[in-house]
This record gives sequence, structure tokens and C-alpha cells, in this order.
Amino acid sequence: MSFELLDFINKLIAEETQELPPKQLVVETDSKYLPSDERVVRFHSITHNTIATHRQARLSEARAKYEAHRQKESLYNRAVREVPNSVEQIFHQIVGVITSGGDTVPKGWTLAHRGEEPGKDNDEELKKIWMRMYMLGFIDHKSKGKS
Amino acid sequence: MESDEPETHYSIGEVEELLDDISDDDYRKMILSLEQLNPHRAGCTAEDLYELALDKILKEDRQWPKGVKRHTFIRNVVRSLIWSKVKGKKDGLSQATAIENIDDISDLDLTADLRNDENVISKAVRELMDVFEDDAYIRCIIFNKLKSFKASKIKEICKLTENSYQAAMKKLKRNARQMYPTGIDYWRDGQ
Repeated sequence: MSFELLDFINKLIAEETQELPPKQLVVETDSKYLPSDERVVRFHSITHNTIATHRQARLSEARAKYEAHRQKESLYNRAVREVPNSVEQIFHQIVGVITSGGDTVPKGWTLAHRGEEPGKDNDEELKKIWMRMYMLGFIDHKSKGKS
Repeated sequence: MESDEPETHYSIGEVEELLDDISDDDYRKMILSLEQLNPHRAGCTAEDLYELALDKILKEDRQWPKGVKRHTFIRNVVRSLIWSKVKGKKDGLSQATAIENIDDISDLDLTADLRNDENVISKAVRELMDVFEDDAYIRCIIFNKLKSFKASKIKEICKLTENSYQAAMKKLKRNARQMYPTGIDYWRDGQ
């Protein structure tokens, strides 16, 4: 028995199905072979449910991303707004945190900045340290900051 | 910088629109087309495979090239799912056989990679020959296809010009589809 014949016939059937417009295909197919209305409804539901599930998942993911971004952004923006105008104040608050808390500030912070000279670059560096401390919660968000 | 290259695949929004707009007749065509792939050889229904295909498409595991028709694209995704399931079963089978543990293969469809029932095949061939009883050209084509001859050889044997061969093929195609809208229930590996 040659299997090529059946491969060939099945290929022709698939081609003819592909080529025929859906309406014509339905008209030209014996109704006993046509998928039932219930089956068509089942396929409709699969499509709509799958789309809805994926939309919901994408929406939740986007919401979570936005929320994380918003939280990060708003904290940074608050830090920018709250940073004191004078370097003295910044320095004073940093020192306040370092000397008041005992073990609330990691030792590395005090060691890293103990020998700094005054000057433009160091002022900027102090501002950055202040902002990091603010964002990490070492500087009280309500009572400190710009006065 | 934005690229000037035209997009080659549909975006997820466009995909959703295309899937959301399938008419009842489109579904009928698609179901017949999926049945032609013999989903049961993968141990699944057309519904199972359609859902899996949509999942892959909407996760963008399978990107939809612009210009490929919806029906063709979904059929191709389902076909590759069947292929990977059948292959998975086959690999599972050879692994289980290798360790000689018959319990491990008890839930596998052992016919998944085998040719189908000879009775189905010979019945289909007889039916085709009967339908084209009065058409000598088509009977000649079928007969020589049974001998696995190529189109050029068949044209020569059946004394068909290119045009008359194409006309006979068109008739054969149309009648075969009407006789077997879901295809002949037969398959073999690699189809």
C-alpha cells in the first residue's frame, strides 16, 4: 500500500480548505461534517477567555511596574525638594545622624567621609549623601529638611 | 533612535484585534482545518490545542508575521504543538524502553508515531476510486500515485498536458475535500 497517495490527498484537502473563503466552505460542506454551533461557541469562549486572561496579566504587571516606579520617583523628588540650601545645614544634619544613632548608621559611612575637604565637589557629594540618607529614612522625612 | 524598518510582526494589540474578530464561519473553517491535523495523535482535542496555541501567541512565544493569514498562522502553531507533543511522547517512550521499565510507558499512546490502520487507508482509496469511476484521468492519477510516481511521470503515463493535469487536480481536490472535510484519518511522522 502506498502511503504517498494518502499524504497527497490529505495535502490537497488541506490546500482546498485554506483556499476557500469561509462562507463558501460552509455552503459546500455536507452539514453532517460541519462543526456544531455548540463547538463554535466553545471556540469563541476559548478565544475571549484567553484574551481576557492575558490582558489582565499584562495590566497587573504594568500596574505593579508603575507603582514601583512612582514610589521610587516620588521619594527621590521629595529628597530633591527637601535638601537644605546651605552646605552647613546638610553637614550638620548628616553629622547629627551619624552621632545620634549609635548603631543606626553603618560604620562604613563615617569611615568613608571622615577626611573630606570643603569645596564644590565635596558639597555636591554631601548633598548626594544627604539625599541617600533621606531616601533610606535616616533623616526624618517630616522634621528635617529645608527650613 | 527609532528604526525606519517596517514592522515585520503584529503587535500584541493587533494580534488581539485579529483574534477578537473571528466569525462563526471562520471558526468552522478553522475547526475543520485543525481536525485535518489529527490532534488526537498528540492525545489532545482541537480545543486543547487551540487554547495552547492562543496562549503561545498572546505570550509572544510565537510571533505573527504580517501578511500571514490568521487561519494559516493558527494552523501552523497548532501543527508545531502536535509535532512537539508527539516527539515528546516518542522521546519518553525510547527513554522508558531504554531503562526497561514498562510502568513508565503505560500512559503513553504507543500508536502516536505509527502509521494508522490499514483498513482505514484501503477503504479511503476504494472510496476515491469509486467516486471517480467515470473520470479516467483522475483514476489514472490516483492509480499512479499509489505507485508513488512523481507528477511529471504521471502526466506522461496518463497522457495529460499541464492544463488538463491542473484541471483534473482541481476536480480531485474539490471532491476529496467534500468527501473528507476533516481529512483522511491517517498520519505518519513528519507530516
